[in-house]
Amino acid sequence: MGSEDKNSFKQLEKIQEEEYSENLDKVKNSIDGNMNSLSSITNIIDLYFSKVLSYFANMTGGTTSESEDDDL
Amino acid sequence: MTDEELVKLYLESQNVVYFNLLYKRYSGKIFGKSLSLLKNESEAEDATQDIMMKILLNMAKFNNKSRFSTWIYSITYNYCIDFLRRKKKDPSVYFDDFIENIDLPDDVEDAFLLEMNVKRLKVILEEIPTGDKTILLMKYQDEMSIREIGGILNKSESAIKMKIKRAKQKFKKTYNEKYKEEV
Repeated sequence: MGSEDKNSFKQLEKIQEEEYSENLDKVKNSIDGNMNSLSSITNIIDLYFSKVLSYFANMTGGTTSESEDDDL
Repeated sequence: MTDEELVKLYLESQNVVYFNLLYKRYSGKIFGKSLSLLKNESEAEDATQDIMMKILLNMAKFNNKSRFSTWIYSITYNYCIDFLRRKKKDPSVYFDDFIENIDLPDDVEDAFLLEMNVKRLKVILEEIPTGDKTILLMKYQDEMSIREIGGILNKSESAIKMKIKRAKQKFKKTYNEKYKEEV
């Protein structure tokens, strides 16, 4: 018998985990939704941030490494 | 694989598979604690979601100085205590020191709590003040050290020892009143 089996607090924790598994599935779906949104935002930033940055650099008369490469 | 290894792998790869494993290990425990403290299923669901997102977004801040479980539980307890304070739902959660003139039993053995019938344990935990329940869950369910509890509640070790002693006494008093025919 493990030490957890002798600890009524641990037993209660285990019972609660089993009892509320449906609630946890619901929570997981919401988290997955949040993670997908976050990953979409990150992808958008990855895609467009460098372009926006080089656009502003060009507007202010500077050059970015990308445009320097183009010049060569 | 240990929690700490999973955290390291997640941080290195950002692969959601590792986070899902941590979710499987801890979401039930976080939900159970949130439900015990907030006493409302839908609030406990929201709390679990917020806490898991907080863990996900702050994973890089975990510094391996404590166990990962202690780090997660400290986020959980702090979230629930803040929530109750904001809602002013339960004044006992303030953990303020005050003198109580109630007649409490003598020192209570750990075995009295640890070997109790689970159904009765649940009933008594529902009846005692949230502050006492929180400290008992930290000590006996999460097996946190006095120092770790003190760190979370921002109290000295001697204050925490006193609070645990009082929480155990209140637990036993409530038990004796509830099941007096058997005592």
